[in-house]
Amino acid sequence: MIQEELQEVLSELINISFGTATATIAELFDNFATLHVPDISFIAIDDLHKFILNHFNCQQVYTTTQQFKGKFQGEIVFAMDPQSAQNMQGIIFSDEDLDGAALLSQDEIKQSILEISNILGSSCLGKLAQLLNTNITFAPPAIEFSQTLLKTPAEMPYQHVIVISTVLDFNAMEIRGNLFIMCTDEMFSWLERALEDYLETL
Amino acid sequence: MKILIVDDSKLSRLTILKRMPAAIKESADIWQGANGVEAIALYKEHRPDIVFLDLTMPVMDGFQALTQIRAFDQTSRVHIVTADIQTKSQEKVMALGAVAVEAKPIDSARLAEIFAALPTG
Amino acid sequence: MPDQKAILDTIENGILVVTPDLQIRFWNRWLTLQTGISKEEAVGHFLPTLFPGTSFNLLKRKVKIALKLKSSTFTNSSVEKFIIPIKLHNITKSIFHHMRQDVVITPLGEGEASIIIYDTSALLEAKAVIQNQLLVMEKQATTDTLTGCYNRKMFNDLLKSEVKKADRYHHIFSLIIMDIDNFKAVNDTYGHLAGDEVLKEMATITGCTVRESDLFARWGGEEFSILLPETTLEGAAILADKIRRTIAANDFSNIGNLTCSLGVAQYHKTEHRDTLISNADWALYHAKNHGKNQVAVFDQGEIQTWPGANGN
Repeated sequence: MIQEELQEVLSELINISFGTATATIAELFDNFATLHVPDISFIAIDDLHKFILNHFNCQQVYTTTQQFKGKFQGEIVFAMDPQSAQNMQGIIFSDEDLDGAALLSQDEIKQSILEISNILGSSCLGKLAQLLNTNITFAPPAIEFSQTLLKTPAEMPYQHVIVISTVLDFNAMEIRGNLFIMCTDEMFSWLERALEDYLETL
Repeated sequence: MKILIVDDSKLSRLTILKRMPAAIKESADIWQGANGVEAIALYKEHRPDIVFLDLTMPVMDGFQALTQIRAFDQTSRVHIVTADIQTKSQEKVMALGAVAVEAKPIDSARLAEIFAALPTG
Repeated sequence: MPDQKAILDTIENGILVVTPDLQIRFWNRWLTLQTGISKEEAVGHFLPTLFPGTSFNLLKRKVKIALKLKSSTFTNSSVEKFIIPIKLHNITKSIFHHMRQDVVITPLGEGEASIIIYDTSALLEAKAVIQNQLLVMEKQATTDTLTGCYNRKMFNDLLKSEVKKADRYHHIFSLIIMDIDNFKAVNDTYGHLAGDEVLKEMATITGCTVRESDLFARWGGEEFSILLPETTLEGAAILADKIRRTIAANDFSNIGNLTCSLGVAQYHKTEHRDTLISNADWALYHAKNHGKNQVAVFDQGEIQTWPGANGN
C-alpha cells in the first residue's frame, strides 16, 4: 500500500479511537470536550529527535513510556509540555474537594499525566487493535520530567515512529500531547498488512 | 432513492458505501461531500432522501451544516456518523434535529436497519 | 488440576478483586499476612470501611477507567506512594512508614477488576539511599569541610562563569583576597586545633558580613577569597574594610584579638582570570607590607592602601 493511502486509513481509525479516548476522559472528569481530529504522521526513528525539538520549544517535557505486547507490539511514548500539564490540573481535579488555589505537587502532576496517557494509549492503541481484529496488552508505564526526552536512536530497537498529535479541548482549555507509537520494521509491515486487510474487507 | 454522504475522510465515506445494502447501493443516486459547505450545496441541489453527516470537518463542521440543512428543509433525514461519542454531543445534534447518531465505524447491520426504517414512496 | 485460588495464596504479591464501588470479592493470603485482615473479614466488605481515613478515590477512578477501557490501568509507587496502607515494621529499619506499592488494575469481564500489588519499598529505598549519597557527594565536592564555605575548586568554577558573564553581558565584578595576620603565631602558641577554631570563627564572621550575592570561599591555609558580582572596586573596598573592622573588633575565644589584611581588585573585560587573582594578591601583599590590619586596592596598575594610609 502506498504511504498516503496507509496514512488515510490509519488516520480515520485513530480518529475513531481518539473519539473514544476523549469521551472517556470527558465523562470521567464530568466535562465536555470539543473533538479535534488528531494529526497523524510517519517518521523514521532518526528524525524523532528533530521532530521533538521542533514541537516542544520548552526546556523540559513530561514523558511517559509504556510497552505493549501482542500480535502488534512496540512502545508508546507520550509527551506533554508543562503548560498543557498545568491546564490538565484544572480538569482532572475539578471534581474533587481540592482548594482551587492549592498548588499541586510534582507528584500529583505526574499522577494525572500518567492517567491521561494511560487512557489515550489504551484507547487509541487498544481500539485500533480491536478494529484490526487483534488484542494487545500494556505493561505498566513509567514517567519522567526531563530535558532529554529519549535515548539516542542507536539505543532503540525500533525503526518506525507513528506520531499522533492530539488536542483535548475543554472549553478552550487545551491539553496538547504527542503520542509516539514506536515499532520495528517487522511490526510496521504487520500494520500495513492489517490496514490493507481492513480496507479490503470493509 | 437519493443518498448524500459527507465526511472529510475518504475511508469513512467508503465504509458507508461498502456496507450499505447492495440492492440500495445499485439503485440509488449517491453524492459525496467533504465538508459542511459542500453538504449544504449538495443538499439544496439534490434534495436527498437521507444524509450521512460527519461532525469534525474542515471549512464547516457538521453541527453548522446540520443546522442549515434543517433550516432549509424541516423534513430532512440526517444521520450523524461520528467518532464523537460523548453524551453531550449526541444530545446537541439530536436537539438540532438529527434522526440519530451513529458511532464510527458504522456496520452493515445498522445500515440495513436505517434503510429499512426509511418511509417508502 | 490444582485449586487455582490456592495457588494465588502462594504468591508474594497482593491480589484482590473488587467491584466498581470497591466491594471486595477476593482477598489472597499475602494481603491477610500484611494487613492482618482475614479473608472472611475482607470478602463482601467495602475496601474503604476496612481502612478508615484512607482515601480510595484514585483507586476507584482507576477501576472505573479500566472497566471502561477494557484495559489495565496502573499506579506507580514513585508517584503515588501506595494504594492499600500497610505499615512497615520497625525491625526492617525502613525509611518508609508505609509499604510502597506498584499496582496494576485489570478488568475481569463485567463489573469486576483484579488489583495486583507489588511491594517496591526495597527498590525505592535503595534509590533514596543513592540519591542522598549523591547529594552528600555533591556538597562535599563544593564545600570546604572545616569552615563550611565553598572550597577552592568551587571558587574556580564560580570565577570562570563570572568571567564569562562579564565578557558576554558587560557585567562588572570584583575580587577580595583575605589573609589572617600572624596566623602562624596562633598555631605555634595555641596549637593547630585552636588555629582551626580561629579559621571557623573567621569564616562565620566573614560569611555573615558579606552580602547574599557574594561568593565566599576558603582559598587554602588561612586565606579566603570573596567574589562580588555587580560590584565596583570602590564597593568591594568598602566591604573589605567592613570585614577588616568586624574581625578586628571580635574577641576570638581563648585567643583574644586578631586582625586580617585584604587585597581588592576589579575584573577588566577580556583579561585572564589569573590576572585578576594576581592583582588582588599584589594588593594583599602591599597591605601586609604596610603594617597589616588594612585593605589595599589594585587600581589601574597602582596599589594603594584604602581609604588612606594605616586605615583604622
